[in-house]
Amino acid sequence: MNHAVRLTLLLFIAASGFQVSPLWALEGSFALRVGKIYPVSGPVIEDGILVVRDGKIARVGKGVEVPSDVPLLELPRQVIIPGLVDAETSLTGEARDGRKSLAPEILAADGWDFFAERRGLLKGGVTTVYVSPGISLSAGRLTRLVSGRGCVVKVAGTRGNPLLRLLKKHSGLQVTLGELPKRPPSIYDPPVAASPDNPFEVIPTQLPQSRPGQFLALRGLLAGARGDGAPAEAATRETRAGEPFPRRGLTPEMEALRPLLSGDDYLRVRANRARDILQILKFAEAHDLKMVLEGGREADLLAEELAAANVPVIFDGGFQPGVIPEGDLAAETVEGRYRERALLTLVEARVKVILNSPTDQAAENLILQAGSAVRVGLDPTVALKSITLDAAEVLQVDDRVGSLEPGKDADFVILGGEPFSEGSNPQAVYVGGELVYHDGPVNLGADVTVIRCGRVWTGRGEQFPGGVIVLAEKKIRYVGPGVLTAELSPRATIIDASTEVIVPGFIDAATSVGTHAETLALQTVAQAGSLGGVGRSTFRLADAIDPRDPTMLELLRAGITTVLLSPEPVTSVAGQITAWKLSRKSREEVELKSYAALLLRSNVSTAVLSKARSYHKKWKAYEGKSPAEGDKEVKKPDRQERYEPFRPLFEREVPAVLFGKSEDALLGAVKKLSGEFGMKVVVAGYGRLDRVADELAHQGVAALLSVPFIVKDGPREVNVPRQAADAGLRFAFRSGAATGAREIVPQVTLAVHNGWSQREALAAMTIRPAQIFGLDEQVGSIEEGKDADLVFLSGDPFTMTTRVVRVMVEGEMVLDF
Amino acid sequence: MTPATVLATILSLGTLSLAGDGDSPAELIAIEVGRVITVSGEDIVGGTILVEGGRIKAIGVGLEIPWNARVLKYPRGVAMPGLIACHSSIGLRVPQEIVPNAPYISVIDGIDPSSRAIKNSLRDGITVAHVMPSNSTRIGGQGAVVRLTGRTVEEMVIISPSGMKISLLPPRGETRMESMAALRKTFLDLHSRVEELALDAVAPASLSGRPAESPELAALVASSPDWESIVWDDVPMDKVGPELSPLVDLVRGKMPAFTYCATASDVFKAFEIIDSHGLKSTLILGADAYKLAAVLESRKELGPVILDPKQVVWEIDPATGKEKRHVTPRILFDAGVRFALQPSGAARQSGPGFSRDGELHLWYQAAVLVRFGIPRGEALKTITETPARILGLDHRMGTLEVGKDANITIFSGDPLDARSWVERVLIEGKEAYRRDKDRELELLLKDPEKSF
Repeated sequence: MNHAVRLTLLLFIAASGFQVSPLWALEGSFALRVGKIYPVSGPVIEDGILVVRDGKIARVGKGVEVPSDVPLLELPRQVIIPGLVDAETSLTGEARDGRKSLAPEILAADGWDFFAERRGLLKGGVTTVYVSPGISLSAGRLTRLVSGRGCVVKVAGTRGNPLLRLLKKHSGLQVTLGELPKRPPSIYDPPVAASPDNPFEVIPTQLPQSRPGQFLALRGLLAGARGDGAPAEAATRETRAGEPFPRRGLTPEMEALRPLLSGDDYLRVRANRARDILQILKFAEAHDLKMVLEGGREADLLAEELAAANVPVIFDGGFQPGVIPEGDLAAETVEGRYRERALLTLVEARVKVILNSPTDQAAENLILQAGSAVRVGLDPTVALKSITLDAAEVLQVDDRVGSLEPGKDADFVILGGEPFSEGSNPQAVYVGGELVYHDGPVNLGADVTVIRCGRVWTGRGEQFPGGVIVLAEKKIRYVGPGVLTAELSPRATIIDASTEVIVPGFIDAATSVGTHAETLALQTVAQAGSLGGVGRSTFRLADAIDPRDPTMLELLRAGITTVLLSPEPVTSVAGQITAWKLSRKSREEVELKSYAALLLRSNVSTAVLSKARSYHKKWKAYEGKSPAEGDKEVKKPDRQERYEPFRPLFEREVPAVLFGKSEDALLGAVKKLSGEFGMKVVVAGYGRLDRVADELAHQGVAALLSVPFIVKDGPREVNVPRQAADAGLRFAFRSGAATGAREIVPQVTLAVHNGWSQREALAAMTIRPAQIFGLDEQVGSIEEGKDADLVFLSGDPFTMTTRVVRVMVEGEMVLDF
Repeated sequence: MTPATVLATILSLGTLSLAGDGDSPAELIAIEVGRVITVSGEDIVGGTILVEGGRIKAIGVGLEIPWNARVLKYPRGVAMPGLIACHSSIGLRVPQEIVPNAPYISVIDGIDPSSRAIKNSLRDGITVAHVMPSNSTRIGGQGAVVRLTGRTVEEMVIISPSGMKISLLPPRGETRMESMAALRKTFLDLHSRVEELALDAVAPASLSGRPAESPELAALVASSPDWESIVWDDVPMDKVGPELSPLVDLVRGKMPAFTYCATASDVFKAFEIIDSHGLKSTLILGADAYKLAAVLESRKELGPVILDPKQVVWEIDPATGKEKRHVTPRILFDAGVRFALQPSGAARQSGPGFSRDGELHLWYQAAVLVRFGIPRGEALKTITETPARILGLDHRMGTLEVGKDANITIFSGDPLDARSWVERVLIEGKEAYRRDKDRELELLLKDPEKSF
C-alpha cells in the first residue's frame, strides 16, 4: 500500500468514526489505588495508594489515608513505576558541534527546544532526560574534546511554562576521548575595529591533534580555571598575539568550570577504550574531580578501578530497535567479553551502572534496554533502579525525581502489568501530577451513543471520575475515565450525565415480581400439595408471568434491571429459578437464562437426590459411549422429565439454591449437596449467615442474604453483610418479595450507613449475583461487551440522599425522571 | 539657469512627486470625513479634524472651520491615526552587516529616503517606522524611528538611536548554543572592561592592569556580572570607545533593547539576558509564539510584545496526525498579553507592494485579528497606539487627540475593509501621500500587465 492510499484510509477512519481517549483523569490533587506500586526507593507495595497533591507526591503506601477532598481513581489491575530517567541523550537537535575544541561555556540548555513534543519518549515512559551539549555520536561525526555542559530536563509538563521543566541548567562537563575529537578546525575571528590594542591575530590552531594533546588541553583548561596559570582560553592556543582586553579574571570559561572545581559538578567522560578510561581516571583523581563514565565498552576490564574510584558507568545497551549490528562481533565474543557480560562484570564489582540507549532514537525504548539486561541475568530490581533512582542520583536530581517518595515530583508511569513483562506498556504518564501521555485514542465507529458521566462505578472495583461510556447496538463498547478528544460523528448520540453517577443495573437474586403474588402463592401451595416430592422440579414461576406486567416498573425505579424469578420454597424441591431482564418486552427478549438455578430446601431427601443421580449416570453412560467403542450396547434410558432438571446440577452447570431455616439444617445440607453430590451450592433463607460465613466461605459456597441486614445480637449490633464480607463469603441479596423488592436498595444503604463498604455493596448488587447464576458474560458490571444496563444516580450508590435519575436497559432509556 | 540646474530641479521634483504641495508647517488644515477613528475613544461620525502647525488643534463634530484653512473633504472617507510599523527594515537595502556583533552600527547610515519601500509603506497608510537591523546578526546595531517623509535622513529621524537590536537566531555557521555563549561573553567582556577602566581611573597602581595577588576564585567568578558594583561616574567614558559605548548605554538602561526570539524557547534566553544585565527590552517574537501564552502572561512587566507577521500557523498534531491551526494573536489576546503587529519585511523592498500575501499590510493583519474574534478597537490599537507605546512615543502619536502630531491616514472606507484605499496620508500636518497623485498606482491600475 502506498502512502497516499494509507493516508486516505486513515483520514476516512478519522472522519467516519469518533474517538475517545482514556484520559486517566484528574489534575492537581488526586489519588490512585493500583495493584502494585514500585517506589524503587523501597520494597514493592501491593494494593498501593499514591496520593498526589499539587504536583507532588503526598503519600504512598498500602492503605494510606486518602484526604476527603482528593478524588480517588481505582485501577486494581495497573502497576505504577517512577517516570524513567534517561541519563544520556543528545537531543539538542544540532547537526554539528561548535568550532571550539574546549568550550566549557557551551550549554546544552541553550539548544534545547522546551516546547517540542516528545511523545515518543513519553510513550516509552521516559519523563526526565540528560541532554548532552555534543552531537549524537551515533551519527558518527566528529565532536569536540570539551563540548560544554549538559542539562537535565523533564520532557513534558508544568502547565504552559516549560522553563520549569529544567531541573538543572548545567550538569556534567562533557569530555570526549578517543579518535573523534582529534584534529579540530582552526578558528579565525578577525577583530572588526582592529587597533594596536585589538590586533589581527595569527590564525591559531587548536588542540588536540593527538592523545597526549587531549590531556595537555584538559590540564591547561583546569589550570586556567584555577587562576594559577594562563587564562583558560589560552590553553587551546599554541600561539596568541594578545587578548582583546586584559581581563581581571572573569571569563565564561572559568565560570563554567567553577562548579566542577568546587565539587558541585562532575566530569562526564565518554570513553570506550580501556587505556583512555584508565588515564582519565588518574586525571580525575589527580585533580580531585567527580567523574562519570559514558559508553565504557571496555569498562569491565577496569571494573575494580572504577569501583574503587566510585565512578558510575552510563552503559550503552546493545539493543537498537530495527538495527542488526554490522561488523564482526566475534572479536569481542572470543575474548569472552561481549557486551552483556561486561555489564554483569561491572555490576558484580559494585560499580553503579546506569543503563542507556545506544542512540537517541532508541531512547524511547529505554525500558527495553533494561529488559534486555534482565534477560542476560541482571536482577530486575537493579535494572529498574538503574533507569530511575540511580540515574537521578548520577544526574544530581534525585531530590526531585527517580523514585516515588513523599515530597518528590509526581512523575510516574501507569503500566498495564509488571515491568519488563509482556503487554506492560505505559498506559498513562504523569509529570508533576499532570497527565502528559495516554495510550488512546480508541476508534469506536460512528453509530454510537456516548455517555459523559460524572463518575462511573464499574462494579468490578474500578471507579472513573469523569468517565465515558460508549454504547453500540445495546452493548457497551468502551468504558473508561475519559474525555472526548475528537469531533463526534453527526450520527452519534450524546447523553450528558456529567453530574450523575453511573452504576451497573442492580440484580435481585430472588423475587416474585409480576406474579400478582397472593393469588399465585395460593396456587403454588395447592400445587405443592398435589405434586409433592420431586415433582416440582419442573415448576417455573416465569411461565406464569407477563413480561409487560406494569408492576415491573416499581423495580426499575429502584435501579433493578435484572431479576431472578424464584418460586416460594414451599416444598423440598421448590422449582426452577429464571433470570429475566426487566425490559418489558416479549418473553424471548427478556429471558436471560430460563433455567438459572434449582431451588431446594434443606430437607431435600437423599433418596430423591440419589435417584436423580443414578438417572443422570445412566444418561451419562449412554451419551459417553460411542457406538464403535466397547462390545456391550448400552440401552438408551427412558427420559424422566422430573429428573431432567437435576442433570445440570450434577454437571455443575447450574447451582442449587439451598433454602434453610436454621444454621444446622443449612450446614448439613451443604455437606450433603456439595460434598456428597458434588453440586454448586448457594445458600439462602437463614437470617444470620454471618455466623456460618467462615464455614461457608471455606467450603466455597456462595450465599444469598436477605433482610434484616442489621440485627441485634444481645447488646451487640451486627452488620450481617459486613461480617459476611469480612469472612470472605461471596454473596448477593434476595428480596424474596414482589414489588416490595424495590426496598432492597434502602436496606443495603442501611448496611453501608452502618459501616459497610460501598464498593462491596455494589458488587453484591451487581457482579456477584451475575457470577453466582452464570450471567456475568452479559450483565453485572460496566465492561466492554456487556449489555448496556445502566443506572444513572444523583450521587454515589447507597448513600441516603441518592436517587435514581434514569435507567437504561440494553441501551434503551426505559425510565427517565 | 544652466542646463545642469534645470536637470537637477526636474530630478528633485520627480522625487517629490509624492511629497505633496510643499505646504508650510504653520498651515491650517481642516479634514472633513465621514468618520474619525480616534482609537483613544469612540469613533466620531461626520467628524472634522483641525490641524495647525503640524498638530491636531481640534477634533469633533460641526467645528467652525477657519476661513484660511485648507479643507480636505472625504465625505465617505475614514480618518484614523497614521499606522506605525514598530519593527521594520523600511528604507534599508541591506538590513544587516556580516559581523555578528556590531553594536556600533546604526541604521541611520543605511536609510535611503528615496527608497521604494517608503512609498509602498505610505501607500499602505504607514506614517512612522521603527527601522532596525535584521534578525540575522546577534547584536545587529542601533535602530531609529523615522517619519516616512523627508528629503534627507536627518529630516526623517524622530529618535536615533531608538534601541539596540539583539537577535537570538544563531548567525550563519553557529549553533544556538554557540550563539548564546557568545552573547553571554559579550556582556561579560563588557563588564570586565568597564570594571577595569573604573579601577584604573581610581587607583592606577598596577601597570599590567591585573591585580598583584590572585583573588579568590569564587569572588572573581560570579554567575552573572554584578553591574550594581560599578560606579559609572568613575568610568572614563572617553576610554570606553565608540565600539562599546552603545552597549554601556544598554546595560545602564539608557538605550532600550529589541530582542528577537526566533523560536518559543529563545524567550527564556531573552529573559536571562534581560534579567542578568538589567536591560529594558521589548520582545520580538517568532511565528510559534502561540506556545508562549502562559510564559508571557507571567512577564507582563516587559511591556507589549511585537508579533511575527505570520499570524496563523498550521502544524500537524503528532498524536492524531491531524492538522491543527493556531491563531497566535488570538491565543495571546485570550491570555491577556498585549502586542503590536509588524509588517512583513522582505517583499516590501521590491514591487509596488501589492501581494497576495496580506502579511505585507498592517491594516490587513489587523483585519485578521477581527476575523478571529478580537474586538475591533483592540485590533486597531495593535497598529497604532501599542506600537507608539513600545517606541515611547505614545505622547505624540498613535491616537487622534488634541495636541498630538497630525499623523493621519485617510481611507476611502473602513480601514479593515479590503476594498478600501488609502486616500491621503498626513505626517505632522504635511502631505505625505495622495492617491490621486500616485502615478505608480495609476499605471498599475490602468494596465496591470505592464507593471508586473
